[in-house]
Amino acid sequence: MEKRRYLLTGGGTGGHVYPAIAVADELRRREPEAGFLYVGVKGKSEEKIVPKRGYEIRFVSSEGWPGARPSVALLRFAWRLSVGILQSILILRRYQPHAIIATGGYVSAPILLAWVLLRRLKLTQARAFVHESNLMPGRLNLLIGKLADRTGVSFEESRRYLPQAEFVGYPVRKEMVGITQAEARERLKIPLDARVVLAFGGSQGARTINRALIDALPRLLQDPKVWVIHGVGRLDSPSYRAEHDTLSRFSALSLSEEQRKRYSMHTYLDPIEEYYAAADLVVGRGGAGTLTEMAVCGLAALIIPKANLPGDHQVRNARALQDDGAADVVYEHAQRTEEGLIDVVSGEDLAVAVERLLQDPERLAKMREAIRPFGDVSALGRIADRVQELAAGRLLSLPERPIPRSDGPVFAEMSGAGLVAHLSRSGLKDIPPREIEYLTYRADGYLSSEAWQIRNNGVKLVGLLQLSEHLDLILYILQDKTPAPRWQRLLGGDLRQVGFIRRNAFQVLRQLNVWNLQVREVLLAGFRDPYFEVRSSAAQSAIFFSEQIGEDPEILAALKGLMVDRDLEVAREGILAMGHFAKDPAIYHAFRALYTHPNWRLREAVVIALTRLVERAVIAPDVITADLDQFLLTSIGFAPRFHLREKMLHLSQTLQKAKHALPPQ
Amino acid sequence: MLYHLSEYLVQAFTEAAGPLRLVRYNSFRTIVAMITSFLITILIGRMVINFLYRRKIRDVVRDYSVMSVESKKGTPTMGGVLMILAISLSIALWGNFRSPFLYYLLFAMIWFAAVGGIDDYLKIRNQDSDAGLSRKAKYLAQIGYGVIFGILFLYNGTTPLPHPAKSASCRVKSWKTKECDRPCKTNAECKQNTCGINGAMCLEGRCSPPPVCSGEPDATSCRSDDACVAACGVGAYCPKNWEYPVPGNKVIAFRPSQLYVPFYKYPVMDLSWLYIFVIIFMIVYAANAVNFADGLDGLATGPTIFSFLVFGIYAYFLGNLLIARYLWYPFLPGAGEAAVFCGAVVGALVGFLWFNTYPAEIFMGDTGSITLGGILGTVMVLLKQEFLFFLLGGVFLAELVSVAIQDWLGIQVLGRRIFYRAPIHHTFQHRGLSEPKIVVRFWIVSGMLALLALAALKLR
Repeated sequence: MEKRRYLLTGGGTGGHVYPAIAVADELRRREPEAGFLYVGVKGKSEEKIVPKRGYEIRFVSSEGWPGARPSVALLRFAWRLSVGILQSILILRRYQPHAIIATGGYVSAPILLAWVLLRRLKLTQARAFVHESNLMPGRLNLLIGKLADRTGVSFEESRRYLPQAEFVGYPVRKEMVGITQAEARERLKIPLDARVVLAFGGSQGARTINRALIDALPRLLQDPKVWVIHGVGRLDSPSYRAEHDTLSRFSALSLSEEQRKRYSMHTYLDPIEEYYAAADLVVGRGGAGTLTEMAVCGLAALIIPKANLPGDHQVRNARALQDDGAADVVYEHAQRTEEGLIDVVSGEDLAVAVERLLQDPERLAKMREAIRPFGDVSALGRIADRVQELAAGRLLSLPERPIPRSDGPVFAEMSGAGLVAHLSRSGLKDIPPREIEYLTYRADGYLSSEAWQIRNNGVKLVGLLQLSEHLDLILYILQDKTPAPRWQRLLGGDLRQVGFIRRNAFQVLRQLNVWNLQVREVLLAGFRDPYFEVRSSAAQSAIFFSEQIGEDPEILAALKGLMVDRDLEVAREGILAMGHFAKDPAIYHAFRALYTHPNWRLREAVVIALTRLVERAVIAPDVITADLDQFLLTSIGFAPRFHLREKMLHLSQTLQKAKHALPPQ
Repeated sequence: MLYHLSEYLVQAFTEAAGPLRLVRYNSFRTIVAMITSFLITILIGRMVINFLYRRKIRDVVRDYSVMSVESKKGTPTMGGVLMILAISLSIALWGNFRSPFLYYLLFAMIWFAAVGGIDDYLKIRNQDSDAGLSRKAKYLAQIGYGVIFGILFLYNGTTPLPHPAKSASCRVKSWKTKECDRPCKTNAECKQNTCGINGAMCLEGRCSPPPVCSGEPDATSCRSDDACVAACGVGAYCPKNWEYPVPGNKVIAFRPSQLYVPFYKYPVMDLSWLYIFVIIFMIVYAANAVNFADGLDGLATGPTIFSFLVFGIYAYFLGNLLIARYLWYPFLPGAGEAAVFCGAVVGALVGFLWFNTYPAEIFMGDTGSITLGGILGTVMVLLKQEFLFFLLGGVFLAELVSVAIQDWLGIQVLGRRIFYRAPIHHTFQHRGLSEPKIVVRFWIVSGMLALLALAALKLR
């Protein structure tokens, strides 16, 4: 038999490289003679990992999708990708692989596109196997998954997006299993009755997890049974130096000698199986690799998914586990720090979540059981089988499997505007608390966006989700007086927090229904806002909070000012509000001045407000009666009543009544 | 049809068919086309409304027991088919199918009727006003038409406008002398002393050159004087229609690709093929402007009537050698047929308004508004009066600009409303004006603008 040649591609991050390497290892074990070639992009993680594992690597040029908006980045993308495709065509022609194994990421784009091209021209015999490790397939895999000979996914649910794919699982290394907790703890010198928390953010490390864990330590270590193992990762870039940053933060903590002994910090967790085996609870990221490893080892996991990744895939992976009771999730929240806007988890939140789990051994045991199905050690063999079948030119037909369907709305699939539309239509009922938690995470992500269109959705979500704890953020938005860029101001813009956001923020204040001094300040500022919809929304809010406002003279004075606002809509709201609030009969003069206002909608508001004032016994009836003939009463503005429709309505109501009156037959 | 029938009858039975010569005149056919399409609309209007209603070409009331007594929901839409039907019949009767102008306008009507019709059909099928053609598809269809029409309009071989390489129709020089232009009873009398013209005949009691030498679009076509002399005799010549005189004894060479603006006699510049972008812009602009204006009962109908009236008058003047020369305009042979077409459209619109005025019994739908806009855009390009539309259609300009400012600048970029509502007529509604009042005010404004546009005929 001819020596088989396998071409591997995929990368950008370790999450795409490791599965490819795992499959290659398995194939090499089965066919020691076979040839392997890895194709990646220079300067990405595959450059280091692949040669270390003993595989040859070639580089092509490629770049991540910059978005469809016309930009320099888009041109560069097109150029790099075209060059990459040409390079890949050469590689494919020279190497003549039997099978291509692609694990996703933009790194694999040139090879796969070149393969599609050559395949169409019948210039290659190679078969392609595409593997998607995350629940939400990446952009490239969604496209190529339809053209590849075989597509494998790690989550059954992924087939909602790639219906032709086969569920194969995540290729996890076989040596993961086979060490007991007692052995591991003995080696690590941890007492058997300790409760061990293992926290790590992948081989590079995660700033969110490192910082949250350090902040949580004082509280966690108060319990003398808790031990903490921390893998900080080897990231050492100007923006974040994992070890240095963690050490300096740790030394700033005031911990006793005994407490310090129960915390151990490692740059690297090697071999990770040992640490896994020793742990009662693992705190980690939501990448498919980490999750599968945890599942194979049967660990209770607390997942802090990395936010705002393409397709939000870590969050979606984590939620799939959470749905089955196999893991708990703590979301990152955008926060303003001295380093700018970054995603953080507060130490407090982490500590509470960890403590809650540690104090509930039953729950931990359940989680260990529930996570098992997600880690399938036979996955690697299955994938290798598929690849060998392809390389041999055999294509077995897939067994029919129904595509999983979700009952009820899938929030993760909705856009920001979609979420707003759904929630304002269906309200909050029937939404379980953990979904609310997820939706809060989404709202947070939107609130920290630079684009006002997205931020606006965040503001609306805060109101719809009744997030009272976000009141500060809403007040912050209303107090933020940063001007819009000059060109926007020239065209009629005003502040960075655009008119729609401010208007909606006032609506959110009403939805949250919280009154305090800060809200009062914001309301007073709202009456003077440059944008008319904000002023009228503020006036509406004043009526909404009338009980709390009472006779606040400052607010009353401001509302009186709104009665003669240059804007029709605002003046109308101001007049209605004064009808609601006024206590002083002298206000009548302000209304009387509007008796001949050219716009009848304002005069109409005057009539409504006067009615209210008389009902509230603020103004004596005689005063108004005496001057009613001064009121400009024109016959203008009407709503039609179509008589035929009226009679038809009557008929159909009569029909309904008659139907109900009929005796049951 | 009647045009060609009368022509045949006049040739076959010269004497008896005399009065039928009236049909040859553009002015007469414009008026009767208007009356015909008006009558057709009125007569079949009720039938069409019932037909559309029964075929559920409307918002279907799902539950009669909760319906609003204030809204007009359930009024049949797609009333544009009524107008298209009337225009087609009227043109079939009164059109001169030798004029290329007619074909261009019919092409515009068919194309845009299809676009608007599909859009309306999709909306009705899905019972959702957002389920019609996508914005992109609509623009694409309009731009596609603009490209095809633009190429045909600018290409020497197909342009309906005069051009040096284009054949003209033979004319007769100085007929108006005593010997030539004299009273007669029979054709035989005119055969002698005909100033060198072959086939002179007795028309309306006076000797006249035969129709084949009369300069009408259907006269003998020529590229040089020789052909005309051969066909009609010594006094005939081939006119250079692409040249037109301006004050100061100057002559200007006309090209279809020249840019003309109102209140200015001379071409601003020759854009050559780049002119196609002007054409596409005007087509898309006109189609969407009428579409946006179609928001209240009769709101689009009124200003559209005024626009077609004014363009009809322009078409008649530019298609008439004497008037065009008098007003220092380039003479556009055959443009008179555009006047007939405009007449038919005006008649259909007035007839439609009969039913469409507040409270409407029928809406025109996109079938009507996009079609009317498309025809309007085509007419103004054909007459080289595109820029007049910004003045004449000031109401449309306000509607479109308000939408552009509100949606693109305000809502998408600045994050605020700039008007209360857009298109602008909704702002007036928001301010408390009632629907009929807004509509009539828009009519008044567009009537005034139409007068201004007519003043632009002489005021140059």
